[in-house]
Amino acid sequence: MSERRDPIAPAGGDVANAPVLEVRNLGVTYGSGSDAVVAIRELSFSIAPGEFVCIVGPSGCGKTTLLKSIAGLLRPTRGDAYVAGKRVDGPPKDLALVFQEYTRSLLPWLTVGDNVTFPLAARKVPKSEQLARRKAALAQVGLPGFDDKYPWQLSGGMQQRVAIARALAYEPAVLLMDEPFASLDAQSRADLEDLVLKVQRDTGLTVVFVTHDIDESVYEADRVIVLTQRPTAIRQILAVDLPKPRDQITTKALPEFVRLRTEVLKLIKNEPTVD
Amino acid sequence: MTRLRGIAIGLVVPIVFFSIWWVLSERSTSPYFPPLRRTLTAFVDIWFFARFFTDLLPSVGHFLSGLTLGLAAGVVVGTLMGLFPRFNRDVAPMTEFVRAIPTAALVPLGLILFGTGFVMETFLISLAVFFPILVSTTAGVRGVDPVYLEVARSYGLSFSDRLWRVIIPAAAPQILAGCRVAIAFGLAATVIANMVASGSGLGFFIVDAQTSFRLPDMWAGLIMIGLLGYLANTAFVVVEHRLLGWHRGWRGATRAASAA
Repeated sequence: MSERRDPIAPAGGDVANAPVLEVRNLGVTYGSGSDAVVAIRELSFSIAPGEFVCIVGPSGCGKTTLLKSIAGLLRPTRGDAYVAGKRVDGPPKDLALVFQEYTRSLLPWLTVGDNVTFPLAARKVPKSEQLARRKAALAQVGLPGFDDKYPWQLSGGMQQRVAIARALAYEPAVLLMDEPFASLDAQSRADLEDLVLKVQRDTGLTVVFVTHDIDESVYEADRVIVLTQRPTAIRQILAVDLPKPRDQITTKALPEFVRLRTEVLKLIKNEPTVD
Repeated sequence: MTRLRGIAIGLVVPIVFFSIWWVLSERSTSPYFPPLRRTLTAFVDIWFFARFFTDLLPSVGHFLSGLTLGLAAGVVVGTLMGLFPRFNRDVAPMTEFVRAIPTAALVPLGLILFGTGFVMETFLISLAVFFPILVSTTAGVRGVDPVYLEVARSYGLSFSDRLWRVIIPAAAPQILAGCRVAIAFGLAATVIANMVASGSGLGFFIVDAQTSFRLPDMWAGLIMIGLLGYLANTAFVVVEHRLLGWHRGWRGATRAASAA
């Protein structure tokens, strides 16, 4: 883990570790003619199975646009995304998305348990397996036995845990998270950062985590992709070789953590860096 | 327990009302306001015996068939209008136009088209029911939180799964609010249809009793209509309670959150 690696290629880029997520020459332009707005100029990167990658960038830099293109909710104008080797043209089966708006991404007429299983029910997964996956997923996010509660009876942090459980029960290859903790209080946020790290370590899931919080990105990631201002391109990709498991207090006190966060901050503010 | 108490409290006001009516009217010699005792005797004779099959049952039957038909059509068309903005844009001027015409004004048209009887009354009642449910269903379906739909889409739900698992449940509170209005409209249309265009039914009975000066009968008819409306609404509230238990809790929670 301590050896320096090429930050552009995914960790351990051999053939057996074919990328689970690949973005090739992807660009998005809204509108056409003189009204055209280039949201994303061109992006290419690939992510290996089991990696934790954070995407950061200045606000309004098209992070959500990129994420929606990967999630198959938006058709890119140029280029393609590939999830588990398949070109994305519609929401991929191997991908689950966790939204920022936890109060609105859970369905208020369903209980916590039914919220976790409703994508499975629509996919005609057998009832017994639905129940097994739901039990496991709720336990993983620290909400065992909350099945019969309604989401609106829970705190914000717990609601986002339910949304994560729903994504886990779906058993995706890639977990895509769109600023998932941006509207939580600091304590819940720290707890959930650690929860996602732990879940990722336990399951070996690939996580792509979009955030505008620089500390969060460095704390969570194996690699940080820094985007530029609109029209968006990749500013730089940084490898984060901080020891694992990470800890809110000791990790954030490491000189390497401080160095990385300063570097990411400079990249975002478009200042010259030491590199 | 609390539910039973709620019902008991709900009964207090009617009981007090009818008791006062009973006492005040007991010595009444006015032909217009007969003693409640006589009205209630008439009520029992009429609605449990003489007119049960000839007037009460047909009215209730027409009301229920018109209600069912109107609600079904309104929910279907309203859902389509909510789902497809272009369809809504094309159809809305027409529905707004027809909606503006009071049910009573449509009686002559109904008579020409269907004559008197079951078909004509069902037509009129379903039309009266159709518009309130149409408007609220359209609004409900259009107003579904886009995040719900994006979540459903991101998990690969098919269109029909999105419709049945997300759109309809999300729009249910508004659809049911429309139902409540529709029930009241439907009952009004039932009485109007009877009054103007048939030789039987509740509405006809009241007019007939009044013109032949059987005023206790007229009062008994009014009480029956009130009772029917009350029963229809109670049945509705029970259904709504079962379907929308989540909605009260959710609304309470979101209100508390925005107040905090």
